[in-house]
Amino acid sequence: MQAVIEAKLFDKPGELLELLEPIARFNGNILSVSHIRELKSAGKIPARIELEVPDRRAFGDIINALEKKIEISNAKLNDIVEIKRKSFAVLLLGHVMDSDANDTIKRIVKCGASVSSFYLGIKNLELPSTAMLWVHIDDKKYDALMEELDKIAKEKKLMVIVE
Amino acid sequence: MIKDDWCGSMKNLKIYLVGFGNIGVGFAKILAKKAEAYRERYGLNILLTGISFAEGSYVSGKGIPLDEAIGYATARKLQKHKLYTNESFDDVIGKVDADILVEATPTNIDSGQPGLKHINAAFDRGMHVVTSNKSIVVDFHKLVERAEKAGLEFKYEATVGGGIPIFSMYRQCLQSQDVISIRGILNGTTNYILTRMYEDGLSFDSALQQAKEMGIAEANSSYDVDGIDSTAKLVILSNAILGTNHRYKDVKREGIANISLEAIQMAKKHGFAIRLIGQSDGRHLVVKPRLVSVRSPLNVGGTLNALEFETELLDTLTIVGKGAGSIESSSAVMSDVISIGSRC
Repeated sequence: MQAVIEAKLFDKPGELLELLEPIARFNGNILSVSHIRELKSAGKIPARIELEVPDRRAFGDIINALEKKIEISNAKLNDIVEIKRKSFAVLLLGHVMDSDANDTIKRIVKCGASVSSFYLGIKNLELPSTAMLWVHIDDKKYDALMEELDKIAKEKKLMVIVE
Repeated sequence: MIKDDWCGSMKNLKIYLVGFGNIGVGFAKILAKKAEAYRERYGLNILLTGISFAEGSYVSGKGIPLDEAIGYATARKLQKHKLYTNESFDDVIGKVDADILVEATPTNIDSGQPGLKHINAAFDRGMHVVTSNKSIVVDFHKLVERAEKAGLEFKYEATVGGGIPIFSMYRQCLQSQDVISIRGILNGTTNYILTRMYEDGLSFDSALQQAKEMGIAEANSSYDVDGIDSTAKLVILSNAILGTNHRYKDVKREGIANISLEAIQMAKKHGFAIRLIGQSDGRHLVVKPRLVSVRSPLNVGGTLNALEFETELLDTLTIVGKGAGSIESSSAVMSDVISIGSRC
């Protein structure tokens, strides 16, 4: 069975190996590997693997193993989309901490998203702060997450800027 | 109103220009400079047979001498010209001999007036219409339908993207496929402010002040900064290219006034710029600040505009150019006029 896996890798030694190792372990046969350094964005490099897998179960095993280590953006088996994810940055402006940043992240996660990084810029507790986070979500749940972010912005008087 | 001399080896193309401000005067300047070239290249003898402005009008069936009219407009002494009368648009439209109305009065997003009145009156009299006036957003489909039913041309290239040939490119180069979505930077003033914040570390207020001093922003900057201008342009784009029937109020809008320098710097540190982006997928129309990767083709600086079409067959197509400025907009108006004049 023909498969395609697209992932975003951190620009650090050994990342590509993390992607390839489970494929070999579950008897995937790699046909091609693209690691497109020119398209590096927000510290991550897109990679695309074309491979053959013995059956659907092996494909599932590979995906499960990869998801523990790496951010998969798309995965197809025999041209049928199995996984389609969006990964994007979100900037929050306002009283991010005072308006309970923990609750904000929990509400994002409740929409089915995962948050991989959180950076906070704060000069003075009295002044508005800035936070940046990376969010990953299944394509089908994206619109619901955008609605939730709109609600969060209104309720907490935050400005939400999405990639 | 197709004149007897409309077709032939040299066509007289008579223009009634309404609005003699930056774009109107810019149009006259381009015509003064390029009239001979248009005669040679396209066989078009373009004459301004009428000009109306707030204080009155000039009318001449033989063609208004352009250099004089431009001189009086530049000196703000329009009433001193020998052709001056205090007749208004309503007085002139019924008697002026013209094939095309060029509507270049200021935009009024709320009522659409006086632009809509001018355009409808021109259609009533069988004139083609070329406009730079974003007031068409108020009644876009009605105007398009009126023109189609009457067999008249209605062109509005200058309303979006200044000198970037967006609608012409769409009509001439993308007929083979559907456009799925559109997104881009539609306002040069906000892009200039965000660029100064990103590149020079200026606060929003300082960057806005600089834009005002350079004549890029108006004294009342709300029209640009609050995303009103971008919203009107997005609706025109979406209706014209995606075939939607949206109105100004259908757009979710957020401006750039609350963007702090700290936010710009945080984005910059992680490989992003903040840009005011308008986007439509035909269902949802949104104008709001977005994080744009510094490597994205949409990440253009200064007063540039950039527009990205997601297409059925070509994937993504991006077009970039000068979005603001009287010469850029006037050039788009002139291109529309020539396009109409060149069709026989």
